[in-house]
Amino acid sequence: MRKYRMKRSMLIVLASLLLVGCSTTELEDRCFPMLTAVEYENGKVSYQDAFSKEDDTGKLGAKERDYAHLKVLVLEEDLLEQKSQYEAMLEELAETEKFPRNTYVCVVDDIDDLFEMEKNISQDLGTYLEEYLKKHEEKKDRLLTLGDLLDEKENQMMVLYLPYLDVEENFVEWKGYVNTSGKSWQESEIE
Amino acid sequence: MYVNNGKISSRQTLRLYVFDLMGIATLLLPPYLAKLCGASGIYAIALGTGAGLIYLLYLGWIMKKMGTDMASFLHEGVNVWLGKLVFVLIMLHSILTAGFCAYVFTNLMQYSLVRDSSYAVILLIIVAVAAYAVSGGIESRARVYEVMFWFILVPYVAMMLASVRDFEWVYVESVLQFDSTNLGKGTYLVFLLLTPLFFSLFLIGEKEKNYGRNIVKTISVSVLFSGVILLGSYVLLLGNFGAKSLASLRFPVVTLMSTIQFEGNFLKRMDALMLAVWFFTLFALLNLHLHYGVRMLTELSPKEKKRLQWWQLLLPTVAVFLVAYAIYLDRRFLNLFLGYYSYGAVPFMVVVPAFLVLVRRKK
Amino acid sequence: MQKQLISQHIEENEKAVRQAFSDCDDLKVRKLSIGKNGSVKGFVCYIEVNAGNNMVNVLGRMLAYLEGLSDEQVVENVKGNAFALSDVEPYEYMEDAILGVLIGDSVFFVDGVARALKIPDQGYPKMGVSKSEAEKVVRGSDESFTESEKANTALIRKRIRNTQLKVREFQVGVRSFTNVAIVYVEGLADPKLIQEIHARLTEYDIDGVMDSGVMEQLAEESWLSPFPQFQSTRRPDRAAMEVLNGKIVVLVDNSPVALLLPTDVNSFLKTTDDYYNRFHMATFARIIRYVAAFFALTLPGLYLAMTNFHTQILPTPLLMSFWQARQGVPFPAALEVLLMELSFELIREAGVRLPGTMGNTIGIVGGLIIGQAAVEANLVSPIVVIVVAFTALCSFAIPNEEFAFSFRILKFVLIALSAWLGFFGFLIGIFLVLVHLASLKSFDVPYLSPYVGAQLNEYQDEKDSVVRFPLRMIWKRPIYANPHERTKLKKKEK
Repeated sequence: MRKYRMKRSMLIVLASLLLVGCSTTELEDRCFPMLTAVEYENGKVSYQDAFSKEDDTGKLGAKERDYAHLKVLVLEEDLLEQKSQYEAMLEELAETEKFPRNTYVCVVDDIDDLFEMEKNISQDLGTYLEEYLKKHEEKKDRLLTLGDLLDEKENQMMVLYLPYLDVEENFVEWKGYVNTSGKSWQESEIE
Repeated sequence: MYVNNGKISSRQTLRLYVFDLMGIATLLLPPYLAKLCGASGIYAIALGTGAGLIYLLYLGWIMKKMGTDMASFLHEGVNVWLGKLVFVLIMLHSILTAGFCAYVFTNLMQYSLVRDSSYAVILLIIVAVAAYAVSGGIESRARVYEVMFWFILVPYVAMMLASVRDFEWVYVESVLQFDSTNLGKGTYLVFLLLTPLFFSLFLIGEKEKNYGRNIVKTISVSVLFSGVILLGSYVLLLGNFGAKSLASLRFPVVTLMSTIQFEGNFLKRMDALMLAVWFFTLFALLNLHLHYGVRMLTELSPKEKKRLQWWQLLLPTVAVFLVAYAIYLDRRFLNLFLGYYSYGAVPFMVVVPAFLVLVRRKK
Repeated sequence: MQKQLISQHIEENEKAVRQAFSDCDDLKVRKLSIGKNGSVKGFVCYIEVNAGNNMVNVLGRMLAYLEGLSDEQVVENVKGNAFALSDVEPYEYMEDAILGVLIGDSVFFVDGVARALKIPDQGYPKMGVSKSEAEKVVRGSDESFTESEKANTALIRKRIRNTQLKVREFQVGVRSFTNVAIVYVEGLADPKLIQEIHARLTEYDIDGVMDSGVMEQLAEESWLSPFPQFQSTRRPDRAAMEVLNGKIVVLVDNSPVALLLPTDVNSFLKTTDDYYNRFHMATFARIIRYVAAFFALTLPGLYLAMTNFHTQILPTPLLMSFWQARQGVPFPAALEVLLMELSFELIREAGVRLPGTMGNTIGIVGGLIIGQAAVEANLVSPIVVIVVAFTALCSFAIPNEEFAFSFRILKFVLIALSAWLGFFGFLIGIFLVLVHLASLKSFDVPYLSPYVGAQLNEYQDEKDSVVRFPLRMIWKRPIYANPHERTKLKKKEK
């Protein structure tokens, strides 16, 4: 009997820890933004996604945002002009690790137009943009991810070019690339 | 018959040591090496591995001189009080190192898998499970890793190879530039993580003329294997993140796992699943040190009772928990530990075996 | 090898027979006195359960014929086989006579006659033996052990017609006096193991033993473990195969389940037809069984860890369908899984206890009707029903019921840990199970053999693990067999 006493005590300690309880959010109590847009307005950076409106009106309730499936991070063109704000944003994202590092990043001229467009397409905006960007990736260089931006923030060894998209009523158009180290344009070579 | 005789087979030894060395090295070394040496960290890894092999040869020489395992030698080969003192010192070292392992392990689990859970609870679970594993003896531990070896290694290597897609050559171009002081520090850092080799002195080998030859041969394969894994991982991490970014990341290898993309949609992000690699390898290292902490206490206890007593397991386990929790609560304890490990542990592990051989009792 | 002629002296013949069948308690030697004065000695030997009406009939007619004859006439008649019975044939050599006994006939020896007479008998049990309901195979024998220990030993001997196959019988149960037999092949089984199992089986004074399961529990070393340390089988071909590998079989009277020892994790996932089918098929089936065993243990836990904690592992469309399915379900996911798993166990238990056809009905009512109704009423999500059903399917793919049960019970531990700590809890659970399995042993053989300690048998045991090598490459017996008799297959020298 003595032989088992030690193992039994350890198992009891482990089992009693189960009583501590768990703190998890049920799947149905989460929402999964597929796209997050970083807006720059009145000197402030804010994050917008498909649930922002519901959040503002209280419709979202206690639902928690789960960014694990975030597909695309869209930066507003104006943000890139504010170098310090842009870097502060990257700093914050590196620290909080809020968004997955393999999220694609692109730039658009107007974020409001982008969310308006969602009403006219059959799928969610994140998946739509991801597929759109991937199609271009097949033709040209590798697309940049949030991880690339964060790495380059530290390394400062390369100039990164983010895809620049123009939002129309119910589609987006690839316009070219934007240099992240300042707003310098490069015309698209792809049609 | 052939179980529970205190011996483990050479395949088990090899796999156990690969786990002991590879886990913590791939997890902790890259950011420090990147900070110290940048791209030339690969030389530090090669030199550190070389130093580890030389250390192993030295241990082989010690084994030959002792003619038996270290525990028996400390009982029979040297002055009783000196033997007891060395047992106590090894026990303290094992407990401290196990505490540090538990601290790193808990940090990793909390950071990557259970962010909202209490640190103390996770630590308690880890230490309790480690104690349960140690209670089964060295053989049962060795068997777990013998079984798990390829299940851990194959996905790890596959994931690392998949990361080649995002490799940037520009990040490794500075490979020819290095600072010899930092390279020296980097090499020492690599060697520090190879110090579990010291415990090979306690492995029971066949009573051959050249005692320990097989043990040294087997473990040198583990060292080389781990060195190659570490080198490959470091190059890939460097090429994916760049030296400065690599230095800024907490657990870069885990971060890399979260960024690797496979074709198609199914294997989107494998970081949570891939944490199994460090779960098992860090458990191996924690168990190794806790095992020797417990064993040293057993060696110091009167020999009447053969079976492991509950207090012999409980005391080191509680001590490991307290060390890990103290490091978590106050960073000064972490600095103290790192100071001890850098300046105390290595000289101890190098000098003491030779000293013991020199002052051995004459028959 | 030179064959031994049957002696004229009955004592020598009896000694030779008893020596050949030493430790074979299933051999019966019945002594007879023949002739007018009853002064001519003789004996009949046979394997116990094989003696049937034919033997009684033929022997009766022979004895009636010999009854009125003088001693000399008896000898002359036996020598000349003057009974005019077509069934009776003479043997000249002792080895042939022994083989005759082994193949299921009775053999009659008479003093003064340097030959023995074969009395063909019913042979080994055939028609009375039922088909195996458990451990079904696609290819191979359908025979199953019966409830008679004697018949069961005969079923093994039917497959191994060798005097080296030993049957040691003894009684257990201070009131029931139940027959227990230890069956092994001398020279192949480890002698220490035979002693140890005998000591363990006789360690307790117990009122009665109604099934081999009682002996199993009393003889187990780690009795707290959920994993069985004896392998059980209802198949005589399995028992015979394992005996030839150096294992020991324990048979208990009134129990159709034989115990095999020592055992390991791999043995529980093997079936007999793995050896009857070609190695590609056997390997494929084994891989499926190993994967099934893994999912039988882990799937509900993994589901909880992925949906409640680490959603990033799942592909987005799959996650969205999980999310959709969970809408409106009143229970937390962990409780939902637990309820479904318990409901499944309830259906299973009810199905087992009810008579055959009603058992099937319960399966349909429980599984299909209640399941569908629960989903439609939004009490559970369809995904959880799929997870639980798939887990059940996986547990059914494990060939050994006791082993499958340990997975079913441990699955609940993994569910609890995963619900509490996500993938970390899941890994803790897996690690605990592994450590436990690693410390477990069956009669000194590591439970995780042949995946651990394979070096001791030059890695030969690994050839018969997840991957079953072609039979011609599996030439060695496993580690637990007598070290001096490890070769089980070799090419004949030309």
